[in-house]
Amino acid sequence: MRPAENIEKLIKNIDIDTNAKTDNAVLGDVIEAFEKSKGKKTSATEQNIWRIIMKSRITKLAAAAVIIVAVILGLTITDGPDIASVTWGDVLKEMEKVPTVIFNMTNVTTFGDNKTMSSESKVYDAGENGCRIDMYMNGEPFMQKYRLPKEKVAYRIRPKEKTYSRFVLSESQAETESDFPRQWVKIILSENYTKLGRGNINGIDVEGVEVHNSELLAGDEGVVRLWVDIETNLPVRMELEGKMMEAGAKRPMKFVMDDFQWDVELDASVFEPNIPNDYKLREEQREEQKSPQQVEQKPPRLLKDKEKDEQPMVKEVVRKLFQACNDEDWDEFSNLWPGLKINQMQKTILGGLEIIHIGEPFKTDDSATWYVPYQIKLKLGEVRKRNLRVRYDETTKRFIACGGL
Amino acid sequence: MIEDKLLIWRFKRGSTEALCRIYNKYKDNLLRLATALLNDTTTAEDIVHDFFVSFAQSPEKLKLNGSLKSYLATCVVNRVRNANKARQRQETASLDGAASVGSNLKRPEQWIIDSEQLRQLNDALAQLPEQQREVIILHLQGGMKFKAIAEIQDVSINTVQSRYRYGLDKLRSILDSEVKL
Repeated sequence: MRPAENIEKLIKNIDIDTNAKTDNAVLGDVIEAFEKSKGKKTSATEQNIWRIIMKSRITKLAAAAVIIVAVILGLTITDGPDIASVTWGDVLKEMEKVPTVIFNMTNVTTFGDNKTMSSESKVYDAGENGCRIDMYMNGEPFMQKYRLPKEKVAYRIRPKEKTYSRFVLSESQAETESDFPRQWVKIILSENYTKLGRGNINGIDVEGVEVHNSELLAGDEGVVRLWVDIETNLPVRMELEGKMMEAGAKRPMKFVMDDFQWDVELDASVFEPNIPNDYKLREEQREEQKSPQQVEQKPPRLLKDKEKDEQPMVKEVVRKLFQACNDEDWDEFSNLWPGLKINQMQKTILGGLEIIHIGEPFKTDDSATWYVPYQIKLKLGEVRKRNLRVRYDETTKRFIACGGL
Repeated sequence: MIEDKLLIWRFKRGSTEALCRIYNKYKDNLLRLATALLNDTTTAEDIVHDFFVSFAQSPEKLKLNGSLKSYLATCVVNRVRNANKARQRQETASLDGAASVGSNLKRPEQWIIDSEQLRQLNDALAQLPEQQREVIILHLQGGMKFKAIAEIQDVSINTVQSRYRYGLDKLRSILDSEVKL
């Protein structure tokens, strides 16, 4: 075959490789430009434009034709004011109406050598009837948490250690991860969010919003997105993506809550802690989880000579703890407060805090608990003035923080 | 075609998903087109990149009479023509103005030249007059009709068809002579 005889075919067959990385970068720029252009327009303008367009008889007929053709072809048109859309003001209300929910939480942090650390949790929440969280670290079972408000008790089961803890719950429940979706929605929808338009997640038509520099990021770079089912006004997916302080450096991190099953029937057996016989009870007290407001503060008592010697060490623990928060050094934080598994929400709230004052440690009774007055300023502006609780840990022979943040 | 109409409809209503679909559907075609016209991959990539950013910035300005594919190709071709004009001005201004267009540029290394024929074809295309090369590439690579090309070049369809015919003849001639050598 001579080349001249097949020129047309040859030219048609000329192809080039496209670089996936370049593609993604270009598409990123394109989407950013699109989002910015959408941000410039007010919804009122969009409504007006729509009305102007639809006033045209030709446009009406054309749009109708497109819709008819789409229906015939089984396609879904997901944009347009005449089709159901999310009422953002109702999302939180709808969530509060629903008594049960199951959802997944995934947190992936990428380190410098491209190694990732991931944690996954499945949350079963039935409000007053109980909450269970199954946590996995890098794919392995890490911890099961049960909170049973009716029985006023909570459990933490650690399969690797074959231990469990049992706590007595106070009347007012401490914050748990099961509250995250509601807290996130509340924060996101109170902020200056940008609408992302329609999408489809696992067959569900959704509308999304996103917030840059959200309060949830506490000053870190990143974006928070919320996707809501247009039919039910209930969240389908929430994600936080950005660079967060982790182990002393800013690292790419993605936190996702998804696979929501709202108003699902949950059998009572889901909330029955299944503790194997060979698991040992850990000596922890629910007291450690109490918020400062829950602790009735008794007046200070006079310190004994030995306690006076201990006073500087107790104060130093508190200073180091808040310094760790300031530095966002969560390894150090966990070392000083081993009983608290600090979660992402707490990290974002406490990260970068400013120490205003640390007072002199005091005791109120003969228990091992010390109280240390402190005043800190959180990155979000809140000034917190409370007493941190510190106790001597007989196992590790050192003072550790145990409550009062 | 119907999908394109829906995509445009959704894109104009603010659908990022529709924009992504348009990008993914046509980017390769547009990049091929720009690369073929410029014989310079880097500039082609820049042009397609800039075009899509511009496209995304003003969905409300989009007025489509014909096909989306043809509209996108026309926009990219216009940008390529502007780039070529700018390049020619630069070359005219320089003392080395005699160099042929594209001869000293980064060659499209990404071309999948799976045969010697295609390499020869690539070289031959670069030797065609710009307007003939444009017609051939727009028609064969871009899948554009002669009528649409005539609108871009602002000439009659007959002229476009003549350019296409002359262009192909010249290509045959170049390729035949190379084969004979």
